[in-house]
Amino acid sequence: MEALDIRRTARAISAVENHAGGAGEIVRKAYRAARYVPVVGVTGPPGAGKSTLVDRLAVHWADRGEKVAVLAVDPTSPFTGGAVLGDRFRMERATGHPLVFVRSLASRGQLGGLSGTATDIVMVLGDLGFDRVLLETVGAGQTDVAVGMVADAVMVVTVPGLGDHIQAAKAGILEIGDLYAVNKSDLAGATAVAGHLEANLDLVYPGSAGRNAPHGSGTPQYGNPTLRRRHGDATDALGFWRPPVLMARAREGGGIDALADATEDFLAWSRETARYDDRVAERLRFQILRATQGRLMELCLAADGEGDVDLVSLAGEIASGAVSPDEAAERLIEQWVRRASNRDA
Amino acid sequence: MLVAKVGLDGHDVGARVVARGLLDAGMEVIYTGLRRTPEQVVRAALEEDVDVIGVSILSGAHLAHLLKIRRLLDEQGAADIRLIAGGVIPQEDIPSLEQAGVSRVFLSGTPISEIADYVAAQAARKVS
Amino acid sequence: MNQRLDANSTQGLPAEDPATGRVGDERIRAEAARWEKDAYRAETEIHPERRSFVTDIGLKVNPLYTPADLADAGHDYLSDLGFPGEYPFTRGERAAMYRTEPFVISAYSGFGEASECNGRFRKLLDWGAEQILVALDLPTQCGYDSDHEMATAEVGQVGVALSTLADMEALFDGISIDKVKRIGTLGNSIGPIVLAMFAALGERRGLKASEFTVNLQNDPLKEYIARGTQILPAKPAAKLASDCVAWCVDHEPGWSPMTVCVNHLNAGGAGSSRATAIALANAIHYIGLLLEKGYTIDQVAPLLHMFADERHDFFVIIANLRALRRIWARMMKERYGATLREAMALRTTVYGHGQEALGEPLNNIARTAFGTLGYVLGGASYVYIASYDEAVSTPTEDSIRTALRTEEIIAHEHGFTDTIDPLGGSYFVESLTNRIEAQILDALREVEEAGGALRVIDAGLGRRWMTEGALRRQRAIDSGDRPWVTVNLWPQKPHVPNTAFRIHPDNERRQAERLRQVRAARDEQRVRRALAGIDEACRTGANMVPPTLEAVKAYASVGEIAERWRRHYGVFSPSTDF
Repeated sequence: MEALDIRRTARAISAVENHAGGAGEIVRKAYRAARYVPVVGVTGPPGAGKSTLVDRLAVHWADRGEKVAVLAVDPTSPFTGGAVLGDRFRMERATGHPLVFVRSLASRGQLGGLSGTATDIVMVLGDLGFDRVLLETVGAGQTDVAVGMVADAVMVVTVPGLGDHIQAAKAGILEIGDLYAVNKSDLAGATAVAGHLEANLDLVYPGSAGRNAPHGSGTPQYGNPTLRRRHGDATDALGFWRPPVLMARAREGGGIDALADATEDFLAWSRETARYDDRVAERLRFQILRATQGRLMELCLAADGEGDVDLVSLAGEIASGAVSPDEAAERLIEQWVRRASNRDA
Repeated sequence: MLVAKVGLDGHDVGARVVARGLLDAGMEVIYTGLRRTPEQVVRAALEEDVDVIGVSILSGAHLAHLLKIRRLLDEQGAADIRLIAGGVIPQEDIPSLEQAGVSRVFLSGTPISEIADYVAAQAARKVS
Repeated sequence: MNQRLDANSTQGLPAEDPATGRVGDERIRAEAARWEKDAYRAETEIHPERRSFVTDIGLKVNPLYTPADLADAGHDYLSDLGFPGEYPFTRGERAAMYRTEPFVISAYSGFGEASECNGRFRKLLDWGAEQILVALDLPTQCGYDSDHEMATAEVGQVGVALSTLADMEALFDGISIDKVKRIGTLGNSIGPIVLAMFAALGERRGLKASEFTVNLQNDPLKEYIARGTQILPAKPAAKLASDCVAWCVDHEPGWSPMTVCVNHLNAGGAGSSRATAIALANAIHYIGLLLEKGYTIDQVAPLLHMFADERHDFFVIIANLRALRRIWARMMKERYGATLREAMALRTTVYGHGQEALGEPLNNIARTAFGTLGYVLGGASYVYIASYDEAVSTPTEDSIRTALRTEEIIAHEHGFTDTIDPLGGSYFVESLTNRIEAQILDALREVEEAGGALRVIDAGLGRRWMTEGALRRQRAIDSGDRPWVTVNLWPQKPHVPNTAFRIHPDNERRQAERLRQVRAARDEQRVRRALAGIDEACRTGANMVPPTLEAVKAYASVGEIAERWRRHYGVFSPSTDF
């Protein structure tokens, strides 16, 4: 088995993360290689034991010969720009495993959000020979959305004793899981938490956990069109997926095999029903839009001060109450298009 | 920036204060927690592609750990990662540390801003 | 903060206190307000105050204190102070205090190999030390033998290596342990082992337990937050520590098997009031375990001491000690229903520090002397003092002698110890005592509301308090708000001198060799049987001291015993929070 090239991997990630010189070439090469490897997202509230679970899962797959990359995302302080990247040391087994590479990522205030950078990094990891990526994020605010966007399978982790599950449902955490794990399942209340999750899933999904055949006992009542695309519909010929709820004791290693198997089952189902490709395509559409956004900004900035492209006076107009930023943006694009066509002419 | 404790020394308040100071100065900081081995510290530094490793030591006993970290870094092609030490280090040990590849020694009581400036300069050096 | 504090920290005229209604206080209050306005403000408008006057624990210091401040704080002589040796023990834990004998002059010392360290102990006793607390090296404190991989480069470094009873015998060779007031060590995470070693040492000497006195720190809970020698998860560690107390209640009630520490928590950043509160919460946890086992508070509390700490503000040192004794007495009586005087009268251990600096280390003699004097004026029972080079390395012989002499000067010269609680009644000290008491109780409430001692450790709350406090201190130094001579006033480059104490480079090899010899000479069957007894106690939850005593007497090593614990209880996971 070929060993990991730790240094090369680490530097490639840094380049992408920092948009450093050379990053463009690394990313272009990765997309050309088109090696799409499964990305398993693990998210949940603080204290749910995500790091320990990721630690176990990474080793589970690595022990079966896969090269596994773990990306642990930590929030960046909006005030100082600093970040505490401490999760890796909670992964006692994975850090130091010959086939596992663990890297912390600060969410930063990235253009296009964390998911844009993370998607590029995942491609680069595939190109560098990794067979699977585990992406750990704290289930709060924007990083949630990021994991749903980047991962092929999302595992939502919860534990007994965190209190308000209604709150979790409101926060949308019940809308992104392809699987649910109740960690620390030996604690009092674990069964109740699992029951609560099932009851919430019952509101949307009929049928039983995992694969459900088409034209069966009813169809899921999605409130969210994304979920229909991901989990399917009983009326189409492919059937639907009802997220299973599994119990785990990550610290002791209990329930890990079952979680890994369920994840594999979901990924297999997703591929068989072509929903996996759908998901990748959706991700790539967003990457195009993000890139477009970035490129347009660069072009406008480069043209600033030429012809009638003038950011300073547009800002002045906003300040004086003449236009809103949206309207100013429209004007800026018009100015830039005019400028570009004049130059062509 | 990776802030590390190696060996059995359990006094990590100094290390934590430096980590927090650097965090507040806008850096991405990893603190290893207590009792790490040089191997663990180096693996983390490589994977995280840090610019600087800061090792907190409170007794002469830890010079051996520092030297081992430096040697492992160099062996794995990471001669560019700066190693700095902080804590209580006798004057006569400083030249031999510097000779062995420890870039800077910050004695206890150094203002955090001085350490932050140094780390920021190293990170800038690497990018440019 | 409660109302008392708010009232007290207001610069202007305090609100009328209808509760006291004493005309005299009213007159003084009005006069004090007049003085502040007409005289003090008038002068400071021309010559501004040189800085803001705030203690390390965040209490503001007023320009002047008068009887009105005592009235505002609800001060009541008989219920707040009483008399020395009587409830609530604010003025002292014994009636005669230092007039019969001064505080116990104590030394914390250890380095290198046992035989070498023995020579140092003899000198300490010659110089007047009455109690010796053995400083152990980190491998021993963390439950590793000198030849363990984790011990590399650490053997004998910050204390003496103690792997088996043979080392203990060499350590006290030729020293009459019954002539010394107390002997002991910290042994925070290996309490049952060091307790057993001292018990076995006495047995070898043919001494009855009542003929000598052992003192242990044996307070593992603060290690997780501040000091870092923890071995096991906190819960079983606390159980093992409480086993030592239980065993002493049953066998040697004159010993002091637990000293609950404020010291490291404060030094690490918590500030003395919050550190005292965390320590009290730790004590509450240990006491809870003992009461669950069926012991009574009157059996348990007399064996517990507290290791108080404040090192930034002289008058806070005095007030903190007085407040702590009062809190302890009330807690024992009101919360636990203690009836014995000994259960309510708290004996305090202190370690005289100042804000020691690395530059110009001789200045630390003055700092540690003032720090120690504060503790003595506060009525401490067992007094240690830092050597001037302690911030730099294991103290040298010269520095340790100077430290002991400093204690002796405080004990016998200048009349420092001639009257009991000499600052009792000081407007400033009494109002500070009341405010600090309130601050500690508020912080204790916060700890208990957060779920108590174990929760504060597991949830990372304790460490967060520490880091934030330490950072606040660092910023106060960097900005000059907290003046520090040679650091931010007349700054000198920090410098660790080359004369720093060094351990012989062969020490580690020799210690490992001696351990091999001990292992070769002992009865292996007896060792195996004894270690199986430890496994058994792990399984059943029985008191760990008896099987540990068997193992120690069979010359089983610290590492072998601790390994059994690690196997059964698991090891702590280091926190990466900061």
